[in-house]
Amino acid sequence: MVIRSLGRVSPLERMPPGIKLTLSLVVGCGLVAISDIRIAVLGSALALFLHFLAGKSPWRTARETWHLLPFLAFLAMVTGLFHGIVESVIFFWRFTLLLWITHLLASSTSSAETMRFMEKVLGILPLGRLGWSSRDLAILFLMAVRFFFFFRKEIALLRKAQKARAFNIKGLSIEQRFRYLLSMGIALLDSAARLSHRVTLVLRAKAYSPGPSPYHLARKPGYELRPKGAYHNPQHETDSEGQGAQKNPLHGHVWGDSLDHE
Amino acid sequence: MISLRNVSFRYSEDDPWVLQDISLEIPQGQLSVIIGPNGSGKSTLAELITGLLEPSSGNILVGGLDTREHPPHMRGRVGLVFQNPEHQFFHTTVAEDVAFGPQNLGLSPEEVEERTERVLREVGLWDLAQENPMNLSWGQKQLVAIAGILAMEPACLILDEPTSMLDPPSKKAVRSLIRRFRDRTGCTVLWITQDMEELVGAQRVIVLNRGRIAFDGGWKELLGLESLLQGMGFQRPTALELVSFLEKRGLVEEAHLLLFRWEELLSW
Repeated sequence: MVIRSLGRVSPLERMPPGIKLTLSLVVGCGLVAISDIRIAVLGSALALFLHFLAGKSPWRTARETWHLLPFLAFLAMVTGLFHGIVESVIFFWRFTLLLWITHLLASSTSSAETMRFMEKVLGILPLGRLGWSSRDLAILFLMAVRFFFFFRKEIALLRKAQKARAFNIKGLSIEQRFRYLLSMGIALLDSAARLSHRVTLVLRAKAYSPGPSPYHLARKPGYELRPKGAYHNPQHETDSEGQGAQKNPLHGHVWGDSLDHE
Repeated sequence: MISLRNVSFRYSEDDPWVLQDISLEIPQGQLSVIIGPNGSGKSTLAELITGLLEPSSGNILVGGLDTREHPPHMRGRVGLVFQNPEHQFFHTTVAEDVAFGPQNLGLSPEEVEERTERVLREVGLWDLAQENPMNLSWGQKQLVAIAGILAMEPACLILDEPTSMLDPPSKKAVRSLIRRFRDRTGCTVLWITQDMEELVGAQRVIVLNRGRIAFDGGWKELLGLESLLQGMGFQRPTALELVSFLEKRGLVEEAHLLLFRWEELLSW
């Protein structure tokens, strides 16, 4: 919506996330299920076309995903032991393509779009009866992704701090290594708990309230979005501003400001 | 107008008081600096005014409404910028992250878009609208975090040590941005800091120490209270020490020139 139109966007970024998800599922199934050189060639052509649509160089994708390639190479080697070298190479190439295409589609989809899409998909389920909201689950998903990156960064920082204090895991016995991992786990858990608290505060400071989004609610009768131009102007603040405050019928909050000053 | 009446706060009944008997009246449009050592309750005070915490006793009124019943953050009334910008991002592009707050306020999509564009241009990050905020420099990250709150157009803006992790040019950029925003909108600004130089030119300085207000007045007056500052572990800015030194040596004119230039450079 809105914000995608701000700044530069490629055709791939403008593509609806639903289509991207379907595309990655179809391509994924094809590449995983059919071990054929033609499928690998078709996949390569598709990957090149998608890079063209995204306005991104394939080398950049390769650089961004290189750390997963050794794992694929290992699996390809195992395949090679049973099916020969040609099969091993095709295996490696198919899964590398799958990785690149998925990465490209994911990186060209913004988190807000992913969230809206998830909200839409989850909205089909009767989550309301369980007291859950699809929007809350979608933001939980976003947070989970964020925590993955947080853990990665935190582990790297902890390791650097340990190295700076002359720590070397190689000299440790198995028991000591276990203790070391345990202490790392506790330190990470502690950091995660602190971050969760901080993120909750920030979410609230940005006026996030659990439950359906205002845009979802706006589809129902009796709820209106704030009209254009009817926003709050701080210069109009007065002590009596609360008197004309409106009650949001579904959230139970007082919007207060803007509309009173019109 | 923000009004705190005998506000005390502690996290639970077993914990010590974080804030005790705080009474303050902050008029609309005022630029106040809150200063105090670590653990003096500055951030807690900010969270109380924003409505993220409820006072254990006493009342806080924002625009005449009690924060217990009408949390001001839910109406975009009071905006709080935290110290670490990385904790404040939810989305993978700058534009979407800035739009997150206005969307939560239930503004129309056109309004959200208009505000996002205006604020991004105001903070000078329009060209980076589609970048991932996590990939920006620390100063730019802080500007994105501030832009996310400015887009909510709060009547009161609280900044919790926003420059403590920034280099001097970024510090200057953040201060200048806040000054421009305040001039444009007339919003109240509560600037929390530990940097003595950030007091210069503030309309009001509130000093918190051990959960109580130790001083409430002008910045010049505070800088003259050496024993109070030393008691909290603060030192007068080096430039002021230099001014005193010059005065003692009889170089009064030079001292005044130095003071004038120092004020000019640092003033809000």
